[in-house]
Amino acid sequence: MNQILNIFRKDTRRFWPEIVLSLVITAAFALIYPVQWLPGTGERVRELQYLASVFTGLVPVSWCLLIGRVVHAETLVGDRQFWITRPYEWKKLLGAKVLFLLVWLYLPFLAAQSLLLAEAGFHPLSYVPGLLFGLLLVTGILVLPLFAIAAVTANFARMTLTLLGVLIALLGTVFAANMVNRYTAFIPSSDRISLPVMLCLCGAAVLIQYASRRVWQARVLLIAGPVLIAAVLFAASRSQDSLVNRYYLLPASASAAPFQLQLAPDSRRQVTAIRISDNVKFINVPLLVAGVPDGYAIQIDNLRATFTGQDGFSWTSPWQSSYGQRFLPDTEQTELQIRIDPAAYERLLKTTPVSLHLRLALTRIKAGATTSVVFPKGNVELPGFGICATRPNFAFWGTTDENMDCRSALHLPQLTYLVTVWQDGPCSTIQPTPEHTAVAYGWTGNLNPDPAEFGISSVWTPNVTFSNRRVHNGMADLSSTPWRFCPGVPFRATQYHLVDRTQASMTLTNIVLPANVVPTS
Amino acid sequence: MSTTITSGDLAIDTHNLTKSFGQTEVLHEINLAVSEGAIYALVGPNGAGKTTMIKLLMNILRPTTGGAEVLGVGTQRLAGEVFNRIGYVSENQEMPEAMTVGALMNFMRPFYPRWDRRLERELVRQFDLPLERKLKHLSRGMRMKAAFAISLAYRPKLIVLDEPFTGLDPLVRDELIESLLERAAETTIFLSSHDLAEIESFASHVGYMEEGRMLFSEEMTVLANRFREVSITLPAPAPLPPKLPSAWMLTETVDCVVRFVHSEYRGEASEREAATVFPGARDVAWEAMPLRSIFLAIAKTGRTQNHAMRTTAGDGRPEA
Repeated sequence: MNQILNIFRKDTRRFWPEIVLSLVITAAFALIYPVQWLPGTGERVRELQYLASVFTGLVPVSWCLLIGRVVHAETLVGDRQFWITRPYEWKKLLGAKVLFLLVWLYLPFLAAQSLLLAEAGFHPLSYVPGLLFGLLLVTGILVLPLFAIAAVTANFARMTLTLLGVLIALLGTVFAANMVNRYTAFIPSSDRISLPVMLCLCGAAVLIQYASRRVWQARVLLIAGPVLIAAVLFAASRSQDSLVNRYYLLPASASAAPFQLQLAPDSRRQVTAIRISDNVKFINVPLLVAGVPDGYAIQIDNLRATFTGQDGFSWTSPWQSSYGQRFLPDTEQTELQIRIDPAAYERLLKTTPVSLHLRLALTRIKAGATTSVVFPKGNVELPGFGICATRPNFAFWGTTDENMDCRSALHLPQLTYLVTVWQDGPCSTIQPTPEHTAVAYGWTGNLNPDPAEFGISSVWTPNVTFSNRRVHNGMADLSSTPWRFCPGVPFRATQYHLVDRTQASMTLTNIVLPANVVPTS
Repeated sequence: MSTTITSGDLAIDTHNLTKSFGQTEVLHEINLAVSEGAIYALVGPNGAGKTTMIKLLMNILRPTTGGAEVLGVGTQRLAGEVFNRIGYVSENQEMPEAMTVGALMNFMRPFYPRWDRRLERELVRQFDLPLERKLKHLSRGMRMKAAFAISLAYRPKLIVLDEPFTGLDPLVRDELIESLLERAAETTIFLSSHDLAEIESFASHVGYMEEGRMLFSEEMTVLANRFREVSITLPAPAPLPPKLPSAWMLTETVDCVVRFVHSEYRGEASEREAATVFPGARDVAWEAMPLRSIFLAIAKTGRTQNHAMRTTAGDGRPEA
């Protein structure tokens, strides 16, 4: 323990400028960040919000500096270091570095996160497990990789170059993946692999370095790990069918389909095609939805479409994401967007109408607790969701817009369905008449069950988007009217929980593909 | 030349120690035994492999094949507490530049249970170390003194020095040598150098390396007794006999004079041997050689012959 404290004291004395810099950045972040959820939309607020974003980015940069400097104080690369012929015990040396990070990185960060929670109206002590889980995520995603890179580089300059290389490699991988995989399916559990693997690899590299300074072994581990993960993910993406089948169980029988889709009666005229680019084309198929059981909702995560022309020509798409479209028991109609190969489209166009066989990868969700309130003028705490407030003097243009500010602790809220009432007049209007109100609804949150999500801030500001595409109370043209979310309106929030992930198949016939393709700008 | 010593007496013991970097072998099957209490000087030209050898001994590098023990511990297990008994100073060592001499002393002190505060003060005074100055602001000599001070203050059983005097002015060098010799009774000193003159005055044993091979390793007095510069004056110029004794090196004739270096001088026996080869010699002069001349003769003679020249008792390892 003496050796740990001795090295810790030495590092603290030596790196006090870096420590002070990191503390100042963390403190500034904690003090400025609440502007992200404070009311107001003026120039000053926007400047502060920009500043908050800058400090949010500077926090990990200051960590990078702190980690790099303290690890390189007893650098593990090279054969000229002073310390390697001194009676350092590697476990104690590593312990001293960990202690340094605990005291000068984790504690200030934990304090900043607690302060933010308190500022946002959440009691930090109620979120201790989540805070600790958040620290684990920060460790796995930022601190440990930075520590491992510092451990296999000789100095801070080389560490910075390595980080730049990693960044370029990441961007290149994403670019290449997008080039190779034009159809990307949503796989719910893929992220469960990467973090534990990275934790293990980075941890192993650090241990190898401290225990035996086998630099190339550690480097190979750090390089091979992500390459291996990328290769596995790439291979998995090439066999998305098996991946989807793994996470979305095939139903026992065809009758087990949890809901039904059928073409909207006037679909011959309504199927539309959109051209994004020469290689990207979508068709939108208007559908009627039925059969979603009460108390449940269906979320379409992925779809696989097979179009068959009258002459027998057939084209099947790979699995593609359908962006989590959700249907409730009272959902009547929807529009399914399907990406299609432009050449196949041209070919199918010659034999339209065509039949469409859909394989859908679905998530079934079940309604849980519902909170109903009359939305007050100030903050309202919605249990299990967070704290929300109306945004004063903010008009809603069109059918979709943000109309309230919410914040949640440590992660986005549990997937929640929100229902409220808009009005088309100023909020000062007392009790607007029914013809001047409209029901607005929207989904927010996600199904992630973890107690925290990775983030520098402990407070999340979920994007609450309401919409209303239906005619309501005789108001046919919602899109031309400014709609307001005002205090005093009824507000209902229903949480949804994962039931299972399954698949369903259905065939739609007599689909007329339009020759006229709408280009998008 | 050699003494019988048990492994318990050895401060350093290597067995076929070999190191390669890629395809390049920089150290070839070094067998060396350094007994406790010796002042062993490892000499050789730049690039001979001395620093690599020391880095292997200090577990800074790992051997490709073979192995070594330092103070009875396998070098690949040399870490942590074992370094309480070893002092290491190298001209290439990166010191904690941002620390003051005093801070470095304060930092290192808790690492060593045997750290002697009185000796520390004595060394600081002897070297006139400026405790408040940062290492990066010290001259090369002063930095080396600081390195010596923090390597001697805990009375290590083995002091390993890699080219410690390179680039130092004679005054500083003498100061450092003096400080070493003051502690020589209680420790083993193993140092490398490419400057023969600087080690000749105090080394008790010497090993000569060239191109990664240990050409010989023996006690200084034995080495000095073994080599003689011989000058034989003949009555008239004559060609050299076709077969000369293998211990004769660099044999040459100039007019009536034959000169060579005898590498296995054994007194009268060697003189009788010379008289047998040159029966009509008018005059034979046998002169002792300084270390520098011995090494020059060895270097000129050629590696293969030199390697064969080394003779050892027992397991064939040179012993100090």
